[in-house]
Amino acid sequence: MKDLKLISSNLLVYGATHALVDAACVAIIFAAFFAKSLDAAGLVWAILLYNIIAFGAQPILGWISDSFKVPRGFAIIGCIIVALGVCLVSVAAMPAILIAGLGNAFFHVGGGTISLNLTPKKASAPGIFVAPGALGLFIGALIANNGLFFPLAFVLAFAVACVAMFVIKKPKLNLKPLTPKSNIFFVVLLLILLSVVIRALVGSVVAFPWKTDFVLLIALTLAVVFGKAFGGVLADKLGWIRVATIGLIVSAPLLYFGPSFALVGLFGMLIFNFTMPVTLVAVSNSLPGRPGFSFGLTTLALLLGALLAFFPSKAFFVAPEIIFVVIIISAACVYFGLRLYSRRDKDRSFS
Amino acid sequence: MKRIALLSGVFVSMIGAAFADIAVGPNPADFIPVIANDPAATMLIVVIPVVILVAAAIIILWHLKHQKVPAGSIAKSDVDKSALTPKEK
Repeated sequence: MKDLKLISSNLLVYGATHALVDAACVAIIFAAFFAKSLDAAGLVWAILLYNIIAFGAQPILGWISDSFKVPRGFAIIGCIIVALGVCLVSVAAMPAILIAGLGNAFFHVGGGTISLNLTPKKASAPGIFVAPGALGLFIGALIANNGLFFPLAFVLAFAVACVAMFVIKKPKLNLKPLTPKSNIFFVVLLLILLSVVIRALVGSVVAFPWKTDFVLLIALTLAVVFGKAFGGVLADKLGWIRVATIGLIVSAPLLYFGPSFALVGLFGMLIFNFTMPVTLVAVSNSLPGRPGFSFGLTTLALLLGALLAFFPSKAFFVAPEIIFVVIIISAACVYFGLRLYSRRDKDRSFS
Repeated sequence: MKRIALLSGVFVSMIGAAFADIAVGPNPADFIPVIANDPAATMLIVVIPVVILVAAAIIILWHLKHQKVPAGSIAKSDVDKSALTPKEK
């Protein structure tokens, strides 16, 4: 019961702050655009740079956080840096966006580490922690689009979040590193990270024309949120391989027909996201005692996948048949990666 | 060592693919015009930083693989069965 209280309170605080951080970052970018501080070209560069800093810097920051054992400090510092970005956006748009990206990276590493230690070796808590991010992105875009970007409101919300993170009892952190002996874990990492790259790519290129309907857009956001949140819980109950692999295989035809039929597309996105918490925890468990770095590796893989959508390669991947094939390849990567991960032959992967 | 090389290879080939896209030139269908019009900036802002960040991650991974952990702090891990179904466990 005590554990349940600890887990739920941490998930509530860090999950809500995750949504707040992502909302603030997106709001900063689009507020700068709507205030004409950025032109269309500037917006593209800003999004690219923001993504590179926010996602690409996490392995390095995660490694530092693991080394100094300060995930909560990183989460709080991250919020303070994003709040600084919020305050700066009207003065200097591009620096504010880059600062927000850095703050986002700090927060994700800290919050991710905490969530990975809430239910050790399980996918439930990390899935629930990550899920509100999609909601935050949606709300942030909505705020900016409707001219509701009020820096003071964000700063106050960040102040409350920082106090809550500081006050709340944190879980016991396993930051004791184990040195991998066998090379199997490299193959596991490779396969799992490859599936993350593919997931990011599919998420970036799949196009739903019906998204212009506001209600369906909300439904799509919720499908992503619930897919990530329930994916971990289901996977812990029914088995990671079963949920992640079958989820991807089932989502492939659904996403193929998704652009034509909204309900099919929504269901496809829900199931497609089941795999996220599993891949995150499998990477983290492959590198015991380095949750921050592990979290960063998955975000770096996300960045690589998403970047492909910014280049001409998008024209190739955007075809529904290609998306179908790519998802099946991703399912194969997850299946073999997790099979190797759970090899029963005794493993002395770590000493 | 081979695994690290493999891992590096995959990451580098992904970056290479992105770079090749820039080098090949515009694809009228879906090429983001901003990036198409400024390959030099793309190199500077996107490709080079991403290559550096990926390289940094690989170096950290390499470092972790060869890190000497004090004997007393090592716990023996059990086979992790999290990936298996309840029946398989």
